[in-house]
Amino acid sequence: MISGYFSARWGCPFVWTRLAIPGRPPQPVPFLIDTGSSTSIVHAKDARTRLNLATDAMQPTAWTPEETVRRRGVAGVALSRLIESTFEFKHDDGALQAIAETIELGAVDSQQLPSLLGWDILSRFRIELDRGAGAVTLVPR
Amino acid sequence: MVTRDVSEELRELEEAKATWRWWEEHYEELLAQYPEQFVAINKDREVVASFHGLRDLSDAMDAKGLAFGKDIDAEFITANRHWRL
Repeated sequence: MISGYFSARWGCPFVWTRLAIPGRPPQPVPFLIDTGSSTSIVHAKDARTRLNLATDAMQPTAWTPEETVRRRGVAGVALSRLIESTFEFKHDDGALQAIAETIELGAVDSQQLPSLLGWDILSRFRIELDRGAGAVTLVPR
Repeated sequence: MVTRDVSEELRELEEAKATWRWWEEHYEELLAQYPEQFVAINKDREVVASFHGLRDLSDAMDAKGLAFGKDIDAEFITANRHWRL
């Protein structure tokens, strides 16, 4: 079981993971659990300040057509870049669970947003969210 | 069998969580001083820089030779408490 928490700042559920992308060692990254998102995405602030990617790497003009995807959300269409990644979740008993998945990297204009854990990763878990009890748990299926 | 010692990596994870809790606990006072800005703190949790844009913060930290994660941590401080993603 992996325990997360409700952010006092935002009132939304978060979970921490260690995230590795090509050429970068795994780094701790907090993800907002987003059951409305089909895919997971690392937005620009976390990409720069946690994964140490250069801001130039978050410019869509630097991406190839093959790695660029368009996603429609409530705010309109946004461009993101496909990247290979490995999530390492720490279970409460200390065990590590690794999940390899192609996720997305947000463009630099996503800099004010948290990174999102979508159904590409969430589908591997049974999710319990109880704001009143402050409980956020992910149990492997 | 290949094994690796993950104790140091897990220590980094716990440190990151503790720093996140610090941001949450000090959010209101930071908001009063640095509204709508990216704020960087050092390992002693002292504010070392604030900018309205991520690129400006990034450039300033690079100029000082400070590395995100290793030397500093950063968050965007905003009065907006709601997202619709």
